[in-house]
This record gives sequence, structure tokens and C-alpha cells, in this order.
Amino acid sequence: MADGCDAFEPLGSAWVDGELRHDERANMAAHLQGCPRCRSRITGLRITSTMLRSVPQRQVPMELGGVRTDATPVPVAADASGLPRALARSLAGMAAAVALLGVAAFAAGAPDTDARTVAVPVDVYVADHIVHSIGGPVSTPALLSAQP
Amino acid sequence: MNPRTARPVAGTAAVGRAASAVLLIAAVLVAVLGPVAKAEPAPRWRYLLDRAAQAAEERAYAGEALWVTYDAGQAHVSTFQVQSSGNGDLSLADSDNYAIRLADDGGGLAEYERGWFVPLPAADLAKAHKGLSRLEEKYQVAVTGSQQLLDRDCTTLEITARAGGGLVERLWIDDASGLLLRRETYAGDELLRMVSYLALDLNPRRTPRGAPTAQRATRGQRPSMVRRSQEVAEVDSADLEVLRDAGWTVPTALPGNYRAESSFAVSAGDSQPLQVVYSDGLYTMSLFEQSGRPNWDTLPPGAQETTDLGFKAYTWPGAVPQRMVWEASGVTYSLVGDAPPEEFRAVVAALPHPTSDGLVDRLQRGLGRLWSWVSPWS
Repeated sequence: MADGCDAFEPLGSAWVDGELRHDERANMAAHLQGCPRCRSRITGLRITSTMLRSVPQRQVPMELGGVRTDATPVPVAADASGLPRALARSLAGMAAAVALLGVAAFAAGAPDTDARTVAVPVDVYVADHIVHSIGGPVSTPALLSAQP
Repeated sequence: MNPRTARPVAGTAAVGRAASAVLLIAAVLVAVLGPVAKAEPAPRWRYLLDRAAQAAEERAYAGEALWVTYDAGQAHVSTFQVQSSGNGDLSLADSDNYAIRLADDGGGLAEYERGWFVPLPAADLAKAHKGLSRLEEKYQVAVTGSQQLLDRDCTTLEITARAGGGLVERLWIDDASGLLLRRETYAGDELLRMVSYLALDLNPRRTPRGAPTAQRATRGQRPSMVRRSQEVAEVDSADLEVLRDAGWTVPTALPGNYRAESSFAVSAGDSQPLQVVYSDGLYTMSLFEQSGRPNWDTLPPGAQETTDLGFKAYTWPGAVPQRMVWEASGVTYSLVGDAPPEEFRAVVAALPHPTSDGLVDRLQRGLGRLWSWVSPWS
């Protein structure tokens, strides 16, 4: 280990993050040119920094002291029943559809008063019946009484 | 060999051969005729009823008949004239009210009071013998004795129900002509109705001059009458299936062992009723179904509203055949038949009828209508 590595080692993270002053950067650059060990350490720090920047930030729940900012995505909150809000909206929609169907069915199920009326020639029906039943096994001459 | 004994030996052999031939012939006859000889003879009641059906068509006769029906303890009495030509032409008339003619080539119904005439389809008067086998499924028939009626020797028969053994019918059949002279219908021990000849002429004159009103009417329409059109076409089982799938009520059987025997499409006036004829072997009922609500004002006189079955219907107390009209779900039903009143009511109860219009009924009806509007199969 070259002389002065102990003095430059604490500056390694600041060197990677570009936070050193101008004179500190000049001294650090002169040291790294002559110190393979420090150059290897700086390389490790750059890789670690890059990896840390690629991991998505996890939002800290408000209950745990998280701070909401404009750039912070709003988490999906649960409703009072404990169901996710999307599921609750779906159930509400289905209930509304069922209620709408019920109202439509009630309206459509009104008694039909507009159906056409037909004449009922019962006396002719009696004669038609006799024509087709006169041949019964116990055939009487007549089973007809148009009038009681 | 002893010559005195040789001739007897030859004669014995000939007798033996003859006996063998006789036995062989007898065996053949027994083999052929045995099954026939062992067959049970047809019951006498069957012969009598078949003969009565044939006589109704084939004999010429004229007479006056009495009708008595009992409804809720009240008797309804009427008389009518009967005339048979002896070749399949039968007419029945009440000179003040109606005349009906039944014939193999078609007949007609003339209604005097309202002044109209309607043609009727051909009637097969002699087909009764075809239904005798079904009679035994539900009933028992027995010859019970002999009695005199109209000074004529008659054989009496009784028909009882197999279930319960209750008396159903009592019949008097004329021994000489085979005609059915009197018929009493019972429900248990209660007499429901009776029809009997008051006078009978087995040698009627043919087309006499100055014929009474009944005979003129039986020849058809009077000039002053309005002719109502009616066409009847038989509907086969394949067409019935199509109608059934389209929503028509066409049961193949009804309570009381009534089975559908024939069906007809009737074209009359403003509707096309479907007629299905049911029989249990003894009684017959016709169900008429019309698409549309009934115009109650068009019902024949004598109709009375009833709600005994839990819904509005119209009946004609004391009339035979019985008749009832009601409406269910926009369809008009008319049931006509000569079954005992309890069986008649059981059939009506089994057919579609209006139910109490509660919330559930209304929602079910509404969902059905909504589905019919959107479904491609409706």
C-alpha cells in the first residue's frame, strides 16, 4: 500500500459521486495514478453505486413515517372492510347492474293488458268435440246439450 | 300256416292301418286347432259394446231421448230428437235450440236462437270398437243381468273403476237391435246424469213430406241462417312437436290416464285454435287452445263465472259435455269433456292457469320477456 492511501481512502466515495473540491480532486487523481490498490477500490465503489441506482425506490408507508412527495407514487389503500378498493368498485358495479336488471324485469313483467282478444265459440267447440268423440266405446246417440 | 286263420290276420292289419290313419289325422287336427280351441272367448260385454257402436251407425232408427243431469243437487232436464239414416248419418235436434248432424262426409251445427250455422268435419261413428282395449286399462266391465226397457228385452252392464271399484256407468243394451237405450253415469253412489230413450222407432220412414223441424235442420243450413266458416285439419305428431317447441301447451297425457289420441288445427273467424282430443278409454276430453285473451262477451249464453279452482273461469252448470274456459299468460283455454266432474277439475288444475301475481311472479315474467327480446333462439 502506497504512502498516503489511508488519507485518500475516505475520499473514495466522494470521488465516485463527484463531490470533491478542485484541489482534492487533483491530489486524488495524482494518488490514483500511482496506486493500483486505490484504483481497484474506486472501481468497486463505482460498480456498487451503479447497482444501487438501478434498484427502484421503495416507498415507506405513511404509517411507518414515510414522506409523500409529488414524485412518490400513491399506494393502493384498502377500504374499511379490508378489501382492495378495486375489488370493492367491481362489486359495487355488479350490484348496480343487478339492481338495474331487477328494475327492468319489474317493468317488463307488468301484466299484459295489450294482448289481442279472441272470440271463444264454446258451442262450436262442443260440436267439434262430439264429432271427434262420438265413436267412444260406450257410444250413446248424443252427449250434447248446447243449453243446460 | 293255417288257412282258416290267415284271413283274420290280414283284416286286423287293415284295421290297424285305418286306426293309425285316424289317429294321425286327429293329431294333425289337434296340432292345428288346439291353440284356437284353447283361446279364451272374447268377453260378452266387449261383443255387446262393439255391437252397440256398430248399431249406432248401421241401423235406421228415430226416437226421442231424455237428458237429466245433476249439478250441485239441482236437476237439469231436456229432451231431443234422434234420427239415424242407417248409413252413417246421425242427427240430434232440440227443435227450439239447435240441430246437429254427424256424418261420414261431414255435418253441421245449426243454432236456431242465434241464427247461425257452422259446418262440422266428418265423424266416424263406428270407430268405437277401436277403443275397447283401452277401456280395460282403467275400468272393469261386467254383464249384470236382463231388464225390460220400452217393452224391449235389454242386457244390463256395469262399468266400475279398477282403482277403488266404484260404480261408473250402468248401461241398457237392446237385445234385438244392439242399440244402447239407456245410460246412467255415477260418481260413487251419486247419479251424475242419465240419458234414455222415451220412444224409439226402428223402422222410421225415410224423408217424409212435411218433416218436423228437427229433420229439416239436420239437412243443413236454413236460408235465413248466417254461415260461419270453419276449416279443420288434422295435426300429426311431428307438427305437434313443432307447436310444443313454439310454446303451445300440448301435453301427451293428462291426469286420470287420459292420453292424447288426435289433434286438429281449427281455422275459424279471428283465431286458429288447436284442438287435442284425450281419452281414458271411456270418457273423452278436448282441449282447445287459442293465442290471445278471451273476449268474455262472446261466450254462449248460460256461462257463469267461477273461482272454485283459485282463478277466474267460466262454466255452464248442468251442461253435458262439461265445458270450462279460462285464460293464462295471454292464452285462452277451453276444455270440453264428459268425464266425471272430479276428473274434469283435476285436468283443469293440471293445465296452465293464472297464479297470484306477486313480486316473484312479476320478476320471473319480466326476465322471461327480456330474454325473449335479446335471445336469438326465441
